[in-house]
Amino acid sequence: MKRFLFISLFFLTAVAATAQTFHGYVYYQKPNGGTEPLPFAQVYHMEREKLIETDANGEFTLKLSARATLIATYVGYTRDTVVVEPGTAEAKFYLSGENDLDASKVVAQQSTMPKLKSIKTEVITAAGLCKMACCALAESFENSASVTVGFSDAVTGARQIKLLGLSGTYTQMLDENRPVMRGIASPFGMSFVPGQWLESIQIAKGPSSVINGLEAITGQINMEHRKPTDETPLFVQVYGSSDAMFEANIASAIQFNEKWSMINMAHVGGTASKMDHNKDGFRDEPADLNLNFTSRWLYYAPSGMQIRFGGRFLYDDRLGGQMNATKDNTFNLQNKIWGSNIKNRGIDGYFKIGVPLAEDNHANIALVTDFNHHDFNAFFGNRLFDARQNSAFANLIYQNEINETHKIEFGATWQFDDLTQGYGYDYHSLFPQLEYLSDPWLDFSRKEHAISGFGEYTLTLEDKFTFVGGVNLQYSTLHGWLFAPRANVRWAPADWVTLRALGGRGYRTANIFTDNLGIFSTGKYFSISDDLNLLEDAWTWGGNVTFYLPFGAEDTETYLSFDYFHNNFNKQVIVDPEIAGPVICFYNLDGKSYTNTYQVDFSVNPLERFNITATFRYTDAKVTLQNQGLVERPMTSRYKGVLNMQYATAMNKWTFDFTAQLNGPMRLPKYAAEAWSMETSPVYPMLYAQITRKFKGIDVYIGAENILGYRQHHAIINADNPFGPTGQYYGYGEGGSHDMTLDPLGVFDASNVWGPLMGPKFYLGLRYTLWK
Amino acid sequence: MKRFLFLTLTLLLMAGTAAFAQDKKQKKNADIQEVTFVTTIDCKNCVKKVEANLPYEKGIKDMKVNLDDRTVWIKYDASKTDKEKLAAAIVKLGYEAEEVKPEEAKK
Repeated sequence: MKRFLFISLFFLTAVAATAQTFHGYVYYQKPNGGTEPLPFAQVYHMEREKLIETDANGEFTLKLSARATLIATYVGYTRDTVVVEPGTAEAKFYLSGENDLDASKVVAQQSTMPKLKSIKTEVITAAGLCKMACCALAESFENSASVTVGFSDAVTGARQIKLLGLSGTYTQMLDENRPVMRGIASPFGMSFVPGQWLESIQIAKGPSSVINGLEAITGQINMEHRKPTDETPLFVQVYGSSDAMFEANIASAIQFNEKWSMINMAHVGGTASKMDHNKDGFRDEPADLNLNFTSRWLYYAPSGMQIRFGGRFLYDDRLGGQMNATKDNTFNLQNKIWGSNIKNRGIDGYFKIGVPLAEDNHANIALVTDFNHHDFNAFFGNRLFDARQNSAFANLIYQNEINETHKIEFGATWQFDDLTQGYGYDYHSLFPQLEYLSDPWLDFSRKEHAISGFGEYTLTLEDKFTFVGGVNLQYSTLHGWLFAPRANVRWAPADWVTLRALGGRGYRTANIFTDNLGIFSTGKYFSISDDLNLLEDAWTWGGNVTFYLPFGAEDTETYLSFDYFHNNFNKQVIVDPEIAGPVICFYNLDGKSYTNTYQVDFSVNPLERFNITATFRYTDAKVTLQNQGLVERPMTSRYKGVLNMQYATAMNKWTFDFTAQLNGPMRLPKYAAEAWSMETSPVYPMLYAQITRKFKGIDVYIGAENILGYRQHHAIINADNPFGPTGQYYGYGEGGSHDMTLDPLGVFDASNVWGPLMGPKFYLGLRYTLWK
Repeated sequence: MKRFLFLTLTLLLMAGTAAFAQDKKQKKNADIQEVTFVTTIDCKNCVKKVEANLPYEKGIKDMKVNLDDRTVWIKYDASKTDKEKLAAAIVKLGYEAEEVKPEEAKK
C-alpha cells in the first residue's frame, strides 16, 4: 500500500457564514514546484460513496452538511486526501505524477517481499497458498526454502518445521499477532490449522519485535485468517487424494450492519486408509480424524474503536503404529502389537480491543487477551504420555505515532502457563502373568507466571530509512529476571537496493517431551539430568540485501536477495539420542550451539502472469554433545533449493504451477548411520505440479505431489521387534539401573525420518465461493 | 509405470501452458477494444470481489484492477458487449464506474 498522505488543510475564508457550499480545487504539482489546475480529475466522497468530477478549471463544488473525506485521484497521478469539517469553504488538492515520485505502483498481485517493511518478511498470499494442495498450514511451505518441513517420526504424522536450521519450537507462531501453538499445543499445531482458513502467512526471520514477548528466537510466523468483513457469505472446499486423505472446509462471513460482522469456519479432515508402502509392518501415516471450528467477531464503532473476539475448538484423534493396532491398548499389548493413539483436544478464546486516543488514530491503546486449554493424551507402545495445559495471556499496548518520523510503543504483558504432564509405562498389559509389577509414572508438571514490560521506538525517514529498537524486561516465576534487547534497521539508499540488519535476544521455556515428540516412537529409555534448566536463551543476528532489477514484465518486481543469519545459544536443552546405548539423554548445553544460514532468492516475471522464483538455502548447524564435542546438529538438512514456476492465462482462468525441490543431506545420529550404513541421508528431489481452472464462483484444481515417487524405504530401526530388548527390561522404571550395554541397533526407533514415506500422490479439489 | 504416468502428466501440463499462450495470440482481431473505468473500489476485498466476478461477464477478454488509482482496465470483444454493459457489470457488484476518456488519460 502506498504511503497514505493524510493532510488536513483548512482554508477558512473571511465569509465563513455562507460556508454551506464547499469549493474544491485540484492541482497538478509539477516536479519543479509549480502547479496547474487539473480538469476532469475524479474526487471520491468517501462517506457518501459518490464520485465527483472537476470542471475544465480543475474545480468542483459540493453541498456539505457533515464531515467529509475527499480523495482526489487522476489516472497516472498520486492521490490526495483531505478531511473537511462542516463549515469549511474550500480546500486544495495537490496530485503529482506517478513517475515524478517514482512511487511503486501497487499491483493486484501482491509482491512476496514487501519493500517497506523493516524486517524482511516473506509473504505467502492466498494466491500462493493455492499453489499447493496445502491441507494444513504445515504443508503450506513447500515453495519456501526458508522453512523446511519434515516429520518428527515415522509413526505420529506430526510435522515439524525448521527455520534457520532449528526446530520450529524456536519460531514464535502468531495468529493475527496473538501468540498461539505454545507448549503442548505445538507438535501438531501446524497440522491443525486448515490452509483454506488462511488469507496469508508472513514469515519473518530473526527475533523481530519485542511486543509479542520473548519467544521468537529464529523468527515469527504470523497467520492472517479469512476476515469477518470478507464479502463471501459462503465458501466451501472439498479435497480428496489418492492416499485416502480427505478434507472439507466451510466458511461463512456475515456483515450484520456497519458495526458488526463475523466469520464462522469449520473443517473436517483426515486419512482413512492403512498403507504400508515399505512393508515394514507399520502404517506410513496414521489414520486420523480432525475436527476444527472457529468463530471470529468484529465490532467496529464509528469512533474508530475496534473489538475483535472469538473462539476455537479442535479435536484430533489419530492411530498409528503396526497395521493391526487398535485404539484399545490393552488389546494391543496383550497381543504384542505396537500401536500409537494420540488424542488432542483444545479450546481457545480471545478478546482484543483497540481504542483510538486521537481523532486521526495517531495514538491508540490496545488490549489483547487470550485463554487456551489443551489436552494431549497418548500411548506409544507400552509408553503413556498425558498432558493438560491451561494458558492465559494479556497484553496491553500503547502506541503513539508522534509524527511521520517518530513512533513509540510501550506496554505490559502477563503470561500464565499451568502444565500438568507426565509419562509412564503399562507393563501390566504387556506381561499379565507378572502380577507384582508396578506401573511407574513420572510427573513433570510446572506452573509459570511471567510479567514483562516493553518499549519500542521507530524512526522513519521517508521511505529511505527505518530503525526499530526495543527492549523487553520480564520477570518469570521459574527463571527470574530476563532482559531482551532487539533492533532492526532498513536502509534503501536507492530505488534498486534495500539493506536490512537485525539482531536480538530471545528466551523460551522448553517442553522437553512435546518439543521432541519423536522420542516416544522409540524403545529407548529417557534419562533426564537432575539439574536440567528448562530456560533456553539465544542471540540471533543477521542481514539482508535485496536488489531490484530493471527487467521483467511491466508492473512486476524482479529481485535478487541475499540473507545471512547467525544464531547462538547461551542456554539450551540438549536431547541426545547418541550418547550411549539405548538411552535418550536430556541435559544442559555445555559448550557451543550455533547455526549459520545463508540464503539467495531470485524472482522474475519474464512475461505477464508468468513468474519464476528460485531459492537456495545453506545451513551450517553445530551443537556440543556430551561424549562427542562440537558436531553437526543431527537431522538438520544442509541445504534446500526450490524452483517454482507459475503461469496463468488472462484473468487467471487457468493457472499452472510447477515446483521442484532439491533436499540436501542431513547428518544421521550415529546408531542410524550404522543401521543404514550411511553417514548422511541422501540428496533427493521432489516435484509438484498443479493445474487450477476457475469458473464463475468455482475453482477446480488437480495436482500431483512427489511426482518422481521418491521414498525413504527404511524409516524404522528394528521394526520387526518393537518391544525388545528394552521392552523386556521391566520392573525398575526410570531412574533405575538401565542396561547401558544394550546395542542401540537392537532397539526400536522410528524417530529418524529424512524423506517422504509415501510415494506419488494425486489429488483433486474444488472451491466454491458465493459473493455478497 | 506409475512414475511414467506422473511424468506424462507433467509434460501435458507444460504443453498446455504453451498452447494457451498460443491461443491468446490468435484471438487478436478488430473487435477487441480496451476501456478504463474510474470506480469507487477502495479496499483489497473489493479488488478480490471484482477479480472473482468480472471475468465471467460476457465478452470480457482480460481485465486488471488498480487499487491505487481505483481503476478497472478491461479488454473486451465489442461484438459481444459494450462499454455501458461493462460499466453496469461493475455497478452490479456495488461500485460506481465512470469511463476514463483516452484523451484525458493522455493529458
